[in-house]
Amino acid sequence: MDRWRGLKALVVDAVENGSRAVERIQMETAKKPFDLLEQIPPLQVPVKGIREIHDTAVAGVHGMIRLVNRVTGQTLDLVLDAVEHHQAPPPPEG
Amino acid sequence: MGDNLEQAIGALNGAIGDYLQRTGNGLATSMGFVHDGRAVALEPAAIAAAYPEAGPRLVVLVHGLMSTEIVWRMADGQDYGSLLARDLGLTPLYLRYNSGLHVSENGEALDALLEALVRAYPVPVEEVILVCHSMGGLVARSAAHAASERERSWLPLVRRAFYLGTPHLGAPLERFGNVLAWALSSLGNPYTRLIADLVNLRSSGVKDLRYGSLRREDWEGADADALLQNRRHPVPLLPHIRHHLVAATLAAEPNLALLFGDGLVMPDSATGRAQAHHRSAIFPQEHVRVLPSLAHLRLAHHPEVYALVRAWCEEET
Repeated sequence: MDRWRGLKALVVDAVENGSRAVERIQMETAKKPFDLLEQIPPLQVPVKGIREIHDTAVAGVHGMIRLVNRVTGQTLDLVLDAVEHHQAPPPPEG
Repeated sequence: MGDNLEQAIGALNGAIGDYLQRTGNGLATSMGFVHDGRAVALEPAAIAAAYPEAGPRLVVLVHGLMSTEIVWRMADGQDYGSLLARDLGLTPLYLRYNSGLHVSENGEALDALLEALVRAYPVPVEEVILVCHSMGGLVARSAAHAASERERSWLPLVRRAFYLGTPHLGAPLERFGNVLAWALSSLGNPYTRLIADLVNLRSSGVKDLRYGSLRREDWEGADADALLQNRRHPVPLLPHIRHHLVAATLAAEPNLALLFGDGLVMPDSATGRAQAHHRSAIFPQEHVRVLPSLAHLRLAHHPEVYALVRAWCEEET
């Protein structure tokens, strides 16, 4: 059962860290064009707004992925607990 | 399925075993002796039950990176341990450990384990022979170094050590990984930095193979991903141990053999022909053999290698 828990933890960690890495890349990649566009005075205000929306959307999507990942991990913990409890020998009587 | 699962977990430990250990993951392997796939408790009764014919001369088999004791198994089911038991009456003990940890961490753990073994063993131990494949040789040397600083009782019992494809001077593949990760991360591009981060996820054990680091001082307080920094501290060869080295080369032709080695370890490294810049002990070359047309993994289960080990075991020390 320790190994099943380990496998679960590994998958949860991989999704968590993978999502953070991809989020960082998406933010960094989008930063350059936004920075450039913000240099043009007439575009500065609308680009700032679009950037805000973009960053919020990216952070929101990845935040949701991580939230679902954690909830799934905790649910699997409960399932593994139940399986372990079911497999455990009954306590001695008396 | 059982063996395949154990091999997969052994490979996973070699790749990211330090992470598994640090996060308390249940897939992390604990160091211990394994008999018929089960861990042997170091208590006299448990040892006597696992080895009913326990003799005073032990052979300890130490596997390499990303392996388990299964690596020793030949096609006919025999291995160097069982053959040495049959031919020379030795009692074989198979070590399993998390090869993703630092070599020095595994060395310290092996030192403690061998001390506990000698104390708990049902009959007085007269001799311990170490047979080590690949990284296992570094772990064994690290254990001997740790023991030499603590005056352990198991160390004087070791009179022979066999290193089969052990990268005493490091492995070029790991140095390539170090250069690749450094170059990718230096480009400043988020995508290449992500790839560099992934490459740098490889375990501390793998990174120790860059220069064959044996001691805690080699890595403590240092940046493990710094470009090609050899921080080795010297580990002298213990004079009472006869060191036997076996190297392999994929090719029989000498120039190609020098170029490719056994696929993972170069002949100079496996035969311990150190130069000053290696900051390593120089191994005496009278107990060195280089076997052509043999790959790195085959060194752990090849009849020709066993014949060498047996012949050397029969020599007087």
